[in-house]
Amino acid sequence: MSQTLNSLRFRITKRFGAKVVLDDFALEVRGRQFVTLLGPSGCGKSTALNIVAGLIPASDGELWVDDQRMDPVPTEQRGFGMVFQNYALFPHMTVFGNIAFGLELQRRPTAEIRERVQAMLQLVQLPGFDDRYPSQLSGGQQQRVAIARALVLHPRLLLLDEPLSNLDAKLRIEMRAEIKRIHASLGLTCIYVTHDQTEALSLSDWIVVMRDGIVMQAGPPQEIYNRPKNVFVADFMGFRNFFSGHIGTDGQLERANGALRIRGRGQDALAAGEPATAAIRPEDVQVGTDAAGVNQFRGRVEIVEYLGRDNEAVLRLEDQSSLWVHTPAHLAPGETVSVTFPPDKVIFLPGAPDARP
Amino acid sequence: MTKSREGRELDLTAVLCLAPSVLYVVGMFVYPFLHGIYLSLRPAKQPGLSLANYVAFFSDEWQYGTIWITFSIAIPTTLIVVSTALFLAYGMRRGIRMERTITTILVLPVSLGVILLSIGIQGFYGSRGWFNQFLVGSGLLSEPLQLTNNKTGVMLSLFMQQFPFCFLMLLGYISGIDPTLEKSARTLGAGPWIVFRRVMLPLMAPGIAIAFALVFVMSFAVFPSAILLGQPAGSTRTIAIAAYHQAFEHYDMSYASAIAVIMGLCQLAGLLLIVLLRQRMVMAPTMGVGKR
Repeated sequence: MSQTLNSLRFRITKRFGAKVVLDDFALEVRGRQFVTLLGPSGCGKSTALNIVAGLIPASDGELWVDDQRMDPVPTEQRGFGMVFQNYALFPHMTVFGNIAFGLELQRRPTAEIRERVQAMLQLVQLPGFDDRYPSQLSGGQQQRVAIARALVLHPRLLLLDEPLSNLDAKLRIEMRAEIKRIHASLGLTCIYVTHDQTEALSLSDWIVVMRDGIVMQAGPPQEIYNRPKNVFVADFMGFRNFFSGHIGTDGQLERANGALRIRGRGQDALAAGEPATAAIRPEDVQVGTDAAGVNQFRGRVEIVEYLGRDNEAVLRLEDQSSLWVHTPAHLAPGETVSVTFPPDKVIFLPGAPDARP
Repeated sequence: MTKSREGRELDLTAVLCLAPSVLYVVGMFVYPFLHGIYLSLRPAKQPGLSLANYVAFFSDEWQYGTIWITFSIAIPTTLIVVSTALFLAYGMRRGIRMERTITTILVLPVSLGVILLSIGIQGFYGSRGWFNQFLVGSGLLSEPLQLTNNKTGVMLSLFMQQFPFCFLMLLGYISGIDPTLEKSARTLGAGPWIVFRRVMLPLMAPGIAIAFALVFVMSFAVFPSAILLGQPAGSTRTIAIAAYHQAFEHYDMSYASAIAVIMGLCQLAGLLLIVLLRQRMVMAPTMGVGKR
């Protein structure tokens, strides 16, 4: 259905004055791939997307689609669709007018425009909404119209700039599934920008985690989630507990004060004596296992919060470091419990914890 | 609460809150306006209520001619002021370098007052002003250009008084339009001209209409500039000058009121035209293919 695109490659640098927003940021997107740029606000992900769209000029670099160099081509001739966080529907046009806008500019015959707009309204599940104005629609409906408006032109690349961030939690999950469905059914090539790790994990074939205009890690979702390469990515992927130290001769991580020794995976890449950080997710910490074993510590419960499915608690370990745990067990503040870090759930990352934002 | 919202029961607090503004509007606007109409219907020369003043105005070309003179100054001025301001404000909608400095320079004439501004224009653009001295002295022209003491002078002065505020108003209006609308139009294949005509113009239309209305009404009431930079006894004898003559030279307040009422009706007609044009302008681009 869409014009095919085999690959999109770019390598761009963007400076605003003296500030480097994107530092030689390179990416290759293959046809039908769903690539997500993931990072906190200000990491340059939206700037990168706008440069690909041609809405912001790059300071330096190139953008290629197959054999064609795209960076000198103006936005309106690139043939990329774009969906914005605030929907950006034309408030003075009806739903029909909004979706038909691009087709009218292409001077398509009236009958074809009608037919294609109707097909799009079916696709985004808004049949019969032709005559409504954007102000008469809910946020989720507006975003569906915005997606239809971009897709009706059969773009060879669809750019999505935090399209779900303005929606409430329930709608966000619905629309996420919708985007996934449309991507699969039309065989689209997408670049998606978000700061939400769940969105990135559930939608993408490939995730690029960014920070301060630099790629921190790129790979398939499973790899990013299970094997983060550094403290920043680990933090973004839900590792809340970080223990800094250095690698001991036995391959375990030793805390600076010597009170804790932690065994985990990934230490092979790190040589003895190197500074390192051990990380574990709150939900991977086992609470209340008494059988003596590796990675077993004692902690005093400080705060307990009820989360519904389980409880979140903050513990103070023997060496005074704090530990977040998720456990179905009922803990009471002040009580002392034993906790275990299953060694296969602990990852070792290079560097000191100050690399953590 | 719900009852008062439906308007079935008066909410005393709401009425009291409204009272000051109602009193103000009645005292400062409605009463003087109605009193003016009443005055205009009581001619000085004959007793009782009559339309004699209006009959006198429209049977004397020296008087009714001022309507056309005023329109012939106000309409071109309005068109030039609004289109120039729109052009510049649209170009500056995403901000430019030294914006504050440029804005200050543009706004300065407003703070000087009409009289000083008019004297300045007379000094600069007058037949012996710097501008003409330069043109003649440099050999570009043999005769100085006649830029003051005619309609051009009045329009020049009106432009300088009204451009700054019209520009600032439009700039505020245009920069309030969500910039992503423009971005999304471009990703849908719209070049700069299509973005302007199909997206920005319809959204700017209410602001442009207000600009037209305000500039037109103020231009129509032109008085000091018409005297200082025009030909107040001839080509720039505007309707405001005619009213002034009756009021403060002939001391015929009744006739002056009649002229003022006619002036108000002319301004109202102008505003009505602007509203009608605005409706047409907004309707046109929203018409989709085969729809509506």
